[in-house]
Amino acid sequence: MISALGPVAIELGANRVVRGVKIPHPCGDPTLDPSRDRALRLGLVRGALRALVTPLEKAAIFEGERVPPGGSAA
Amino acid sequence: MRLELRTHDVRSVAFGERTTLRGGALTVRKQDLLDLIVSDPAFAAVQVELVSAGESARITQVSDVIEPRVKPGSGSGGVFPGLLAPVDPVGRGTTDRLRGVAVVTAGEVPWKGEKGLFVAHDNIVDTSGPGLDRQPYGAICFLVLRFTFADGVDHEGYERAVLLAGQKAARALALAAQGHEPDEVALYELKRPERPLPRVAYAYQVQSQGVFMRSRLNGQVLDQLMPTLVHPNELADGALTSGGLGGHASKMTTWMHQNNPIVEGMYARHGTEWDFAGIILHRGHYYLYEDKQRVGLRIAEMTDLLGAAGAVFTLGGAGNNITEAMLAIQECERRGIRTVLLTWEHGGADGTDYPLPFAVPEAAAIVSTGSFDEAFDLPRMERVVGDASIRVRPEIGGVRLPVDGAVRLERANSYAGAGNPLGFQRTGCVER
Repeated sequence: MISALGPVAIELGANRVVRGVKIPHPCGDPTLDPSRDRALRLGLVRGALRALVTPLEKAAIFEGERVPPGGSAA
Repeated sequence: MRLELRTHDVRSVAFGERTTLRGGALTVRKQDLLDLIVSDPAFAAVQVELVSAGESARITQVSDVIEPRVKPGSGSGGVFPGLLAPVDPVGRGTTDRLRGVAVVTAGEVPWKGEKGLFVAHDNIVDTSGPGLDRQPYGAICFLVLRFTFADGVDHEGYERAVLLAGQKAARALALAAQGHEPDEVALYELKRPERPLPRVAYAYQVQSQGVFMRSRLNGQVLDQLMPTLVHPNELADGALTSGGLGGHASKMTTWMHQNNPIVEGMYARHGTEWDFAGIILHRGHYYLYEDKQRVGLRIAEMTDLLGAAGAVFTLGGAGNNITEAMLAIQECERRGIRTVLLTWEHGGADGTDYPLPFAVPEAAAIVSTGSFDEAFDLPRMERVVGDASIRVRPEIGGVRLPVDGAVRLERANSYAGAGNPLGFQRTGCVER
């Protein structure tokens, strides 16, 4: 789950939580220019995919990956 | 800091040639009020309607409710510092108050293409019948200012206009009590008790998130508020005001700040059972978890510095704002400061779901003010003060709900005050 309220997401039963941006826009940041926002969103998705393949003993909060603006989706 | 609050009871309202108060009968010269208000370019039209105490009426699309008050001998009226009055100290001296009548600001706020939760929420409030149990005012008289909003003005312009119109009307009504003998006089002073008693603070949360859900302290918008100390007497003089446009069930109106029952209760046994340490005013609904932690930490530090042994928490709004309160409770309890929280419950239509969006194990003392999610029925009212239907479900762009007959509300959200943020209302929960 990508959530701006990681501890709340865990409290409600999510095991893999990626730290989102803010409550009104967890998966992006409308204050950024489009290329930086795209990089941010790409990093969140990569972080989420990494979380999915990470074995866990207990619930954890993951960070999105840092992707430079213009970074490729590959 | 000592405040003499002089209560003048109002039992009836009527229009007349002059604005006067005689033997509990308030007469209002409609033009006096209109002269104060109509010049604002935000309004295309303003109607003034009266609702008698206990009348079978349903008021629609309420933005705020304000109790008429004024500080005698003050050119500006003294109340609502930072808005109607200069930013002078309040909460001291004398204040005249009309009990049994309130000014309501109402009217359908244009949505201007906005969608989602950040729109003006439409609501209703009943002045008679079972709906009385779900609003804080009781069967009092209401003077409703009903606005038709002008084109070409933005929401900020509407908000400012509605705020000042309500406050000016309330002040004008209170002036009718000037020079009259009050029905009741109460003194409010936070004298330190002669013998040591446990100090108790009140952590008072308000909602302020943009033009639709807004609170002000001394006239300043609280969207970025870090917890701050407020003397309870300041609330009596309108230092803390509501605002915004429209409102959901847990919105706190200015009337609720003026008549906060937690403050009243903490004053009632101040000096005999405890030592009321003051109010820590704070804002919930921060968008970052770290900001929520900052607020929680600041509340705990202030409670600690006040030397408090306990703290009472109430919530402003509903949803993720409970996180700030819970984090503050956790940090207070870790320091040995005992806490109690007053809250609504989610929990779904039958009350069996998880009741709170967030909780900490340290929050062991919680008082429920009832369910937010339970459906309830309201009978037809003889008169609708406002529109025959309201807009609900803004998240899907709005659907019209007729309110001129019997109404079933699927959730509390469209009934103004039904979220019961401060415990005024006669709602609670039963464990089964």
